[in-house]
Amino acid sequence: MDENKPVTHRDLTPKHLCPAMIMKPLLTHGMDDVVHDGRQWPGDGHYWCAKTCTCVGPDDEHVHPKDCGPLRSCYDGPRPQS
Amino acid sequence: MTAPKNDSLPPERELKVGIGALVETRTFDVPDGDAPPWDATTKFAVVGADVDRQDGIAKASGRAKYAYDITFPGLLQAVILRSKIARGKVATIDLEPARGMPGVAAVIGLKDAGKKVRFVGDEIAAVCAPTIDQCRDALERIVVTYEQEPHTVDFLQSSDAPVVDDSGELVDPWSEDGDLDKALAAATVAHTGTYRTEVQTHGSMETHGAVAKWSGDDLDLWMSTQATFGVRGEIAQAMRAADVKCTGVTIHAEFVGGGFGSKFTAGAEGRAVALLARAANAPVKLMLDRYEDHTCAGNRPAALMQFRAGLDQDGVITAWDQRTFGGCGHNGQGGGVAIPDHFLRKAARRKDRMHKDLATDADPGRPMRAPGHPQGFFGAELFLDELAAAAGLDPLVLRQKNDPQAIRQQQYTLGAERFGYAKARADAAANNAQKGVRILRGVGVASARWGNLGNDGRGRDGSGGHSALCRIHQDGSVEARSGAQDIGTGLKTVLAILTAEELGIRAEQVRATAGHTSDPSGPAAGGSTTTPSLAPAIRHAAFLCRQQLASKVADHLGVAATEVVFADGKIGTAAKSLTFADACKLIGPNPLEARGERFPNYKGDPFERGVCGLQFAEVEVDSWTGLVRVVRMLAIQDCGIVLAKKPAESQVLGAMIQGIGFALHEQRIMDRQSGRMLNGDFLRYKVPGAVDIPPMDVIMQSVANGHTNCSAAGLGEAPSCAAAASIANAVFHAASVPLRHLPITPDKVLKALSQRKAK
Repeated sequence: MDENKPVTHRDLTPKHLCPAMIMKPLLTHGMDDVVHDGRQWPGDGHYWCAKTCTCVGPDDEHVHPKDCGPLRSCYDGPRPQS
Repeated sequence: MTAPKNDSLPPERELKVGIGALVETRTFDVPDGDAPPWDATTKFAVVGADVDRQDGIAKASGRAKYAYDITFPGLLQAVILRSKIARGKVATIDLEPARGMPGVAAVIGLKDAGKKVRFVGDEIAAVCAPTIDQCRDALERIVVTYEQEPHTVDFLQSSDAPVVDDSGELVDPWSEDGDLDKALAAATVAHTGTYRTEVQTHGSMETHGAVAKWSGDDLDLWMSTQATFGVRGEIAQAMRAADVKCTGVTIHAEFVGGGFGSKFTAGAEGRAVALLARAANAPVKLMLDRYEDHTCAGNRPAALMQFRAGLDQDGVITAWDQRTFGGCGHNGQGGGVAIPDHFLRKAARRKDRMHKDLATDADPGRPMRAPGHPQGFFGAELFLDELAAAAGLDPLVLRQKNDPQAIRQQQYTLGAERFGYAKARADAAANNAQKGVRILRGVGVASARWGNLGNDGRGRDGSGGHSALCRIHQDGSVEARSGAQDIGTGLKTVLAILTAEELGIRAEQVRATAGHTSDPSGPAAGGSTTTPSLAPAIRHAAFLCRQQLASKVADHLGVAATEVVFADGKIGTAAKSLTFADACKLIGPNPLEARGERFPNYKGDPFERGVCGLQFAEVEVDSWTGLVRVVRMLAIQDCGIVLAKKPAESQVLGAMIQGIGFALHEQRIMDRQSGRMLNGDFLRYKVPGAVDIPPMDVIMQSVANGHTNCSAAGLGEAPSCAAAASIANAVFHAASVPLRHLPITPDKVLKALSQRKAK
C-alpha cells in the first residue's frame, strides 16, 4: 500500500467480508471516509451481526472483520470463486 | 429580503468560500442540474434565522409519539430474561413452565444450552403477555442452569492490562523510536502524564426498544433507532428463516428520544420483539427499562492514556508520543482513542499505533457521540495545559502557536474576547493566591474538531444515493420528506428551512416528516452525517418543485419563467406577482412533486474539510468539600453554513451538558464480585441536572465550504470533543494540580489538594 495515499475504511475492509456484518460506516455511507490514526480495521471498532442483532454471531463467536469471512460456518456471502 | 433566485443562471464554477476576512474565491465543478450553490455572499431569509424547531411544540406538549408511546388494541408487553452471571455457559434451559403462566402468549429462547454467557444481562429468553407483571412472573418460571466461570469487570485486572502505579501512572518503559527519541531529547521542555476515563453510558431519554405488528408476512416496527434503513435490513436478515424480505419490513421512527450512537442496531430486543409478535400473532411492545438500558445497550468504553511530548524554545510542539488502552466489554473492541492532532503538525511522532483494547466480562461498548474523542481530547488537552505550565506559557497561547487551522485561530481571538479569558484567568489566579481561600477558581479552554462534509450515499458504481421529497399542494401546503430519522438533531427543521428558503416562504409553512422507510432513503444518524448528506437533497427537491411552479406562474402572468423570482411569500417579477397561496391554486388537484438528488460533493477544494470549535469553561472548586461547580461555559463552533440556528445551538449545548456529566459525574460502577452494575439508574448514575448546568453561550459560525449546494457540514460530534476537556483544564487552573482521572469527583479533588499541600 502506498504510504502517502489516504487510507479509507474500504481499504481496511477484507474483500470477502460477510454481508451480515455491520459497522457504522456501512450505515452512514462513510466507507470512503479517510482514517487517520493507523487503525488496522475499518469502522470505530464496533461490529455486529444482522442475523443476531448483537456483536456475537450465530456460531456464538464474536463478530469482527478479521473473523467474518468465508471460513466461518455462518458466513452469508457468496463463496469466493477460485 | 431573499436574494433573487432564478433558474437562468449557468452552473456556477467560482464560489466565494470561507468566513469573514478569510473569504476567498475557489473553483468547483458543480454538477449539471443541481440547485445553484449558496456561498459566502448569499443573503438568506430563513437559513440561519431563529426558526423554531419543527417538532418543538409536539415534543414539549407530549403530542409527539415515540416508539414508547405506540399502542394498539390487544397490545402485548414483553420482557427479556437476562443472565445473572458474568461469564460461563448455559448448561440447561427449560422454557416450558413459562408457557403455562397466566396471559403468556409466546416464549422464545435467545440462548440455547451450551451457548456462552458473556456478561450480567446477557439475553437468555423473552416472554410476552398482556402486562409486564405477567411477563415477569413467567420469566421467573424459566429454569436456567449455568456453568459459571471466573470473570473480571475491571479492565485493569485483565490479563493484558499494563502496569499502573499507585499514583495512576503507567510504568512500563516506552519502546524505542529513533527519530522520536531524538526529538524528545532535544526538547527545551518535556513532560509525561497518564490519564484515565471511566465507562460512560449513553443515557438516552428514551430507552431502546420497539413495538412490532405483523400483517401476514409484512412487519411494521415502531423503533427507537438512529438507522431506519439499516435496522430494516437487519431485521429482514434476522427474520430470514421466516421468509421475511426487506420490502415487507417498514420502520417508523418519526420521534426518537436520543441515541448518541447506541441505536444503530436493532439489538437483541429488536429481534426479540419481532419474533414474539410473530409467535403471538399480536402486536408486541418491548422497551428496555432504565437498568437494562444502562447495562445491556452499549456504552462509551473506558480509556487509559499516556502521553509524552516536548516543546522547543518557541513553544512549538516538536515531539509527541502516546500509548492508549481501551476498557471494553466482552468483545474487547471499540476502545480506540482520538486526540487533537491538529496541534502536532510539527511534531515528530511514532509511526506505529500503540493502542490495545482490553476485554472485560461486561456489556460491549457501542459508538458514542464522537467515538474515542471525548476521552482522548480530555487526556491530550489536559496534558497540553500541563505542558504549557511547565513551559511558563498561557495554555491559549500554546494552542495558538501550534494550531495551523485558520478558522480556529479566529476562534481563539473571538472566544478569548467574548469569554473575557485573560481577565478571568488573572482574577482566578489572584483569588487562588489569597491565603486560606476556600473557593478556588479556574478557567480552561479546549479545542474541538470533526470531519464530515456528508456524502451522496452512492455505491462506487454510482448506484443508490440519498434523496428527499418535496411536494407542493393546491392549497398552498408544502411537504418535505425523508425516510431518515431525526433523533433530536433537528433534521425535520433543516428540511423545512431549506424548502422554505428555496420557495421564498416561511419555515412554518412547510410540514417536514422524517423516519418512515416508505419515504426516500438517507443515512443513519452517525458520524455527523445526516444533515450534510440530506440537506443538499431536500434543497434540490425544492429547487425542482420551484421550477415547476415558476413555469405555471409565468404562464399565468405572461412573463418568462426565467424572470420569476420567489421571495417574501410572493412569486413573480417586480411588476407582476402572485402570493404563494394564489400561485399554488394553479397547481391542480395533483401536487407538484420532485425527488431531490444528493449530488456527490463537488470536485474542488472545500474551504475546510471538517468543522472547528473551541470551548471555554470557568469553574469553582470547593477546597473544603472537593465539589467542582461549573460557573459558565462558552462554545464557538462552525458547521459549514449554519442552516438551522436553533437546533444547531441546541446540539452544541447538549454536547456541553453531556461533557459536564463526563467530566464531573458519570461513571459506570461495577461490583467485582457479581459483575453487576451497581448504579444502573439515574439516581446513582448521575447525569447533569438543572443545578449542575451553568449559563452557557454558543456562537455558531457560518462557513461556506463550497462542497455542495448548501455547504452544510456535520455538527453532532465536534462539540463533544471539547466540553469535558475544557472543564478539566479549568479545574487544573483552579487546583494547581491536574486531576487526571475522570470523573472529577470530590474524593479525587480532596486527595489531589492534600497531596499538593504535602508537597
